[in-house]
Amino acid sequence: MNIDLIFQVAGVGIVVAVLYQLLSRAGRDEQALMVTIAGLIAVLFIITGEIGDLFDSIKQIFGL
Amino acid sequence: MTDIFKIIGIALTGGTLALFLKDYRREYAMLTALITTAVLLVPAINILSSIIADFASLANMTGIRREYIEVVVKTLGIAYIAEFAAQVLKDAEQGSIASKVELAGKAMILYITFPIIKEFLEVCINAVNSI
Repeated sequence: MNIDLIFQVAGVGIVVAVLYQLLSRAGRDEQALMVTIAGLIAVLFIITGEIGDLFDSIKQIFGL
Repeated sequence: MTDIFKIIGIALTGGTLALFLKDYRREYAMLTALITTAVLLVPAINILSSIIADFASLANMTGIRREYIEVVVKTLGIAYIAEFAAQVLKDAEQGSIASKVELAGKAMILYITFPIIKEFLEVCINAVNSI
């Protein structure tokens, strides 16, 4: 059980939410969108590894 | 059995974080929920694996054919994984995609179990014909 991953994902989410607010208030809407997309890609990188491990163990255990 | 307290703690933490993020960035709420469920599923599946091994050895003693047990275990795995994905998608308010995942899971289960159903029906037909 790796609880660090949950904190990583939620932390990226909070940072991106704050940056989005700051940038959109400053009138830089397109940069705010870029920050959102970059954060999303970073989080997807974290998640795909873990989901892949989960699917591998399920494949091995259930013989799929 | 202290593991269950750990699991409950992780689930509550992940749920709270996802709830907090839902107001600001909805996609991160969904991803937090996804990673929380994935993290929680790993120990549950690991516990299940030892039970499945015991179950298989028990079935060996009764003399049931191996293929039948394998089909049961495979069905269980497909059901778990389809349910996992469908539930996350439903929470993200993507009900249509969730229902397609469930449909695909049902189709897979039917595809796996169909040879046994066929075998059973053939036995039935042979029994009826031999009367």
